[in-house]
Amino acid sequence: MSTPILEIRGLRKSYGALVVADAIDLSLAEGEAVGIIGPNGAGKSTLFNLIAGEVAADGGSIAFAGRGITRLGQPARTRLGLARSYQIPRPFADMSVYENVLVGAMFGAGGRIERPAVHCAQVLARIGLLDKANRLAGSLTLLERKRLELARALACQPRLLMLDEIAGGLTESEALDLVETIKAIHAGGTTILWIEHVLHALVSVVSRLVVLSFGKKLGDGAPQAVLASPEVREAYLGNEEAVA
Amino acid sequence: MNQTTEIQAAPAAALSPTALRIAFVAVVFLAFASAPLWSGRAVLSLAVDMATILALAMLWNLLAGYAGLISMGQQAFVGLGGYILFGFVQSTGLSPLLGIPLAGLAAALAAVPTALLLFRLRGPYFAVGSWVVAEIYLLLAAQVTALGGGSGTSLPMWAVRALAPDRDLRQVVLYYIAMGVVCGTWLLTWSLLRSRFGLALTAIRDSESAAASLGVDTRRVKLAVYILAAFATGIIGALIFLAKLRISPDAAFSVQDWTADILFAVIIGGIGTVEGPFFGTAVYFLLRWAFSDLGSWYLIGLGLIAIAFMLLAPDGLWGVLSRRLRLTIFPIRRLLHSVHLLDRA
Repeated sequence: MSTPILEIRGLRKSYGALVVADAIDLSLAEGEAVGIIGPNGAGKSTLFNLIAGEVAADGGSIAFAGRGITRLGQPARTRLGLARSYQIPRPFADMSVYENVLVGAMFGAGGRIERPAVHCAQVLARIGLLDKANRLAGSLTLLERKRLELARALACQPRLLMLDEIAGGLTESEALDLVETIKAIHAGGTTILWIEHVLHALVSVVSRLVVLSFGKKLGDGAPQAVLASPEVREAYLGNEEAVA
Repeated sequence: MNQTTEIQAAPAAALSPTALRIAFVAVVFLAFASAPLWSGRAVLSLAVDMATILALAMLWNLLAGYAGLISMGQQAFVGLGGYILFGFVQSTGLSPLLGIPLAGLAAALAAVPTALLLFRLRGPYFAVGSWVVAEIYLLLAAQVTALGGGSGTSLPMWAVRALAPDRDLRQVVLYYIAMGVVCGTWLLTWSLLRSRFGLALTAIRDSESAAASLGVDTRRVKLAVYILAAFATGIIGALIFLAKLRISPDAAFSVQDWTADILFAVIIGGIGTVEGPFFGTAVYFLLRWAFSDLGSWYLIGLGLIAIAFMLLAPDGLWGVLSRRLRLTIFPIRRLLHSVHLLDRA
């Protein structure tokens, strides 16, 4: 078996007495699409912050494509090929959409892109924001901001794309559009790790689900099997409508 | 040039056609370059004052408005620049003009350990910390007995004469140095903001965490800006005290003169914009000219105006103007043109 794109061993993080990551192990093969679910406060976003390098781990190790990155800062991890979107979009509000994406192309791609403007035009065309390229990011709607999060991350040419509730707060048809875009990105060979509450959107893309609860991994496997397991149903799926 | 057929036009259109711009710049340049011919010593002296305040405002704007470094201690580098100049003149006997670049280098050098200390602090702690460090600089300067200790010292007569044989001519020399310094600072900040580095800085201005997540080494960018600003601030400090002919710790490391007033100019002008410091400095001097006779009431008034701007127009005079008029004087925005789309084939 080839080297996993992401290999997490015994990852730990606590804030005082609150343990938000409790000895988490997780391995992702290159080209996989994996979803992360769990109740609010389960430590999903914390796990993302730990992987992305926004928050330093208390213990454990993270390797990216065989390279230890536990001590690496966030910008360096991004330049290696690990990009993320934020749950609440963080656009550069007083910069244009194009400039927002250009930051990713010029810095996040680690100097791999020869013609950043052309690359950005391609990314924007793919995400459907090309006609807004020279508009200020602060003037975008929620859907457009979510798309911009995705476009910026893609501009970094990531090998692993981490999406944090990118479908949350969107209408049904908007979410469907986004799912199609993500499917296309995945089909292009990018590994995807996706936190999402909108289960049907998630399950239509991912082939594997990881369940987190109170900082612990509760389940990991094929979506139907994971969702059917009794512990998962008890911990997370108290709301029956989500299973249907 | 603007063939944005498929893409919507930029929000802020350029001010005017190129020819008109060049003509405007030429007229302004000639007016300033010929000022010693048509104005007196008092006007030139005021121009030096304005140039130094404007240059300091541009630099503070770069730090606070872009890099998110709310420094309340830039007086450390103003004072250090001044003291290095006086020390250089006294110890070497060379022309003070040679001491000016040296003052910049010394300030940049001092900025490295200062940054290593201060960059451990965040937000308001950084602001307070930078002020404390500047006070330490002040106390250290007061220990230098060769430069008059706590009461300060004057520039030796021979050094004053080395600058120019008489007062009128000296003012002309100082005026041209000041114009050079302010133009240099402006070119530095503007070209910086238009560069790749500027894209990173502007991103940090809007969201530091998002910039880091998109591969911008925020710590390194901020450190570079801090050192660069210290370099230019040191040069300005040397110029300020060369013009005053006298230096003392209290004047050199004054938080009021070299940070608080500057902060006022930047905030009312429009923080985080290239044009803001120009407008802010103009308003600041207008207010100073009109009300400075009122003593401490004048300072209270300045404070109230700054607070009013922060509450009602946080993006300052220029922010309001540019939104209303949809224009920009010094464009830094990068546009995506349809040329980039043709390349996709």
